[in-house]
Amino acid sequence: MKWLIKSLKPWSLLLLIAGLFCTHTASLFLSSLMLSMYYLYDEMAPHGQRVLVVTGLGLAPFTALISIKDVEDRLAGLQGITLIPETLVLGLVKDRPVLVRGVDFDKLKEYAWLEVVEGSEPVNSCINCAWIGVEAASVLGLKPGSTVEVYSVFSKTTLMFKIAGIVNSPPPYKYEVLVSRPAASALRGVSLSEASHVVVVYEPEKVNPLVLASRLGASLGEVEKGAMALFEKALIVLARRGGALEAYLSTPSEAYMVRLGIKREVVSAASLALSIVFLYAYYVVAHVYAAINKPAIALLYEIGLSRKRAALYIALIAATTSAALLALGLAAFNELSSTVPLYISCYRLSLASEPTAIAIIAALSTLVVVYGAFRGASREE
Amino acid sequence: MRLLVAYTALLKSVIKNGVVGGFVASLLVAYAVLSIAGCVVSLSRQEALAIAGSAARSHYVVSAQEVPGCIKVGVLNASICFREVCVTTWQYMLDENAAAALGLFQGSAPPAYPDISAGYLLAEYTGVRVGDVVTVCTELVCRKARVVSIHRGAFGESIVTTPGEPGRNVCLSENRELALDIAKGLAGDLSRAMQYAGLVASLLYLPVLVVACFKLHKELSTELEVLVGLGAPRAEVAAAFALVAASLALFSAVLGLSLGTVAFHASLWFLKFTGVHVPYRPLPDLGAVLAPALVLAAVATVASLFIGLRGGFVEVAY
Repeated sequence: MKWLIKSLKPWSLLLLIAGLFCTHTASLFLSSLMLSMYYLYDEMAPHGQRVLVVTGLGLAPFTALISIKDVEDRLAGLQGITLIPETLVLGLVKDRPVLVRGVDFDKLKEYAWLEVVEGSEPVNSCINCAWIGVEAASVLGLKPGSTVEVYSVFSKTTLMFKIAGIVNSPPPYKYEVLVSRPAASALRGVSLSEASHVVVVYEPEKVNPLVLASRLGASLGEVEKGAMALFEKALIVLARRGGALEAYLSTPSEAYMVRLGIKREVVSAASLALSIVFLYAYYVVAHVYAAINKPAIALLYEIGLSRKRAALYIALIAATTSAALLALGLAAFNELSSTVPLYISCYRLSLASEPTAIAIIAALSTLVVVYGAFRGASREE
Repeated sequence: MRLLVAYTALLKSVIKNGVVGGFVASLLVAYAVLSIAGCVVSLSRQEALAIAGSAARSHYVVSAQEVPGCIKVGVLNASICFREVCVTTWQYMLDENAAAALGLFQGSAPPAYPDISAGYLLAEYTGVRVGDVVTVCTELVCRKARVVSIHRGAFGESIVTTPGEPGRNVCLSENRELALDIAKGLAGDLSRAMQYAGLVASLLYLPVLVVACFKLHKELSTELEVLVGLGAPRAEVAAAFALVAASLALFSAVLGLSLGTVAFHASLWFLKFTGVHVPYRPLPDLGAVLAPALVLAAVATVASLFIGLRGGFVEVAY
């Protein structure tokens, strides 16, 4: 083995290292970008330990309108819950598409902190006021005191808002323009009895979340006990499968606008296509490296080693190099991901390394590299 | 002429001996990634245009300057108090023609100042009804106003009356491009993200490309030496080598862009089995692909020329 390593061509090692490092970094970067785009809608959902989001239908969870009364009826009589309807609409602010969220500020403060960075405290009573999330304010370049026009395809007329303040808050609010519910309903062209979704804030000591699920029409068998994140997602998924709540979309343009132009199917297709290309890249790198080292392998045959065993040695070296370079690729990816901020609307795409994605890349790349190197080394001239 | 002969000889050798695997492969992957990014951009643009087309209807937008045919309305910040509830909203002041143009009050005149019409959302929110008396305070004056109607449609969150006090004048003009503007904005954001992804992938493959150029030079070293031995100047031989690299880069571009497009279309086709149908069949968007593709080809050519002139940087025993 030691002799084999010594007799490997330096060119081949250079190609292997450069090829694997670049492919690892590129695949980590692109998989992270794709995941970030795919889960962008989940970012728009209010998060929290005691929070449950009830929505209607659609690939993006917030595309539909639901009847607030329907949710109230289903949860009637339960203690320790607060229902907070929110209305979302995509508007055009300063020639840029921005998500405008209609909220009840008093209720919002019950489950999310809102820190006023500049301007006045958010209040429900100012219907023609808007508070801008810090991230959105930096993208749009807006300051308190000015008036801003918000256009929406759902409203025939433009709505004007006085910018009353800039607020810092957890996602999703810091990426958006926050207005009162009547103003958001005017932009969306609906009545106050409808909302994009209802946030259910519950007190775990007073209400069992599984009872909540049952009341909302979700099957208890499909909800994993104790795992709140899964539970929350399961509810959304169940609601999306239909039947759980009344929901509707009126035009295709609504579906397009509210999912911020990103079709999850397209992201899936692109991810699949990129996987094919990167698997091919791993294969080619390993194959070329092994093919270059054919003379060294030939010598191994001459000293009596079987063809398969010699090829396995070559594959083992490639796999070890690949595993070591994955760590280096991860470091390079982390550096790269912080360089250029990417935005969809005012949402920043967070290019964080996902452990699951890393595990999948590590497993698949190792398999393909081993296969490629083995094939390259064992193929007869 | 000699350059052409040298180029042809090298190219023939490349084709005959098939020594281009590493070089083509290094470019192929970058071009394929670019192609996929280009397909996403193209698909998103096609869909945006189709959606915007289907949603085409006019909107009234606020224009900064007075434009011919626009609807002029006065606007003031107003506080409306009813029972114990006070809210702040806009008071719009408009005449009969403006109300008719905006489709308010079924063609009749708006409530005469100081009376008001409350928007349906404002009424729903505050609980005011027709006949109620509310207190309206603008920046200039406070007054008692009777709610004579509840209007739907435009200004649903505001109050409407006839011009009765001076306010800021705004001009509402028709715009049919609004849906397109929003769709274009979203498609633009997505395009930027994908272009960036393509660019990053291309840049990442540059080191591999340079190593592959060395490898190609090494593979062709015998032929290059023969050409020099036959009396061809080293600069010309280097130029011929760079031309070969450029040709291979072009070949890789065609192959890589095709591979990416095929992979993307295969993925769209595969999604059919999961119940997802995407009706568009995009080709890579030229604008998204062209610049990084040219950069890759240019780097391959320049690196090869440089390596050719230096006769390779490292002596490696094969």
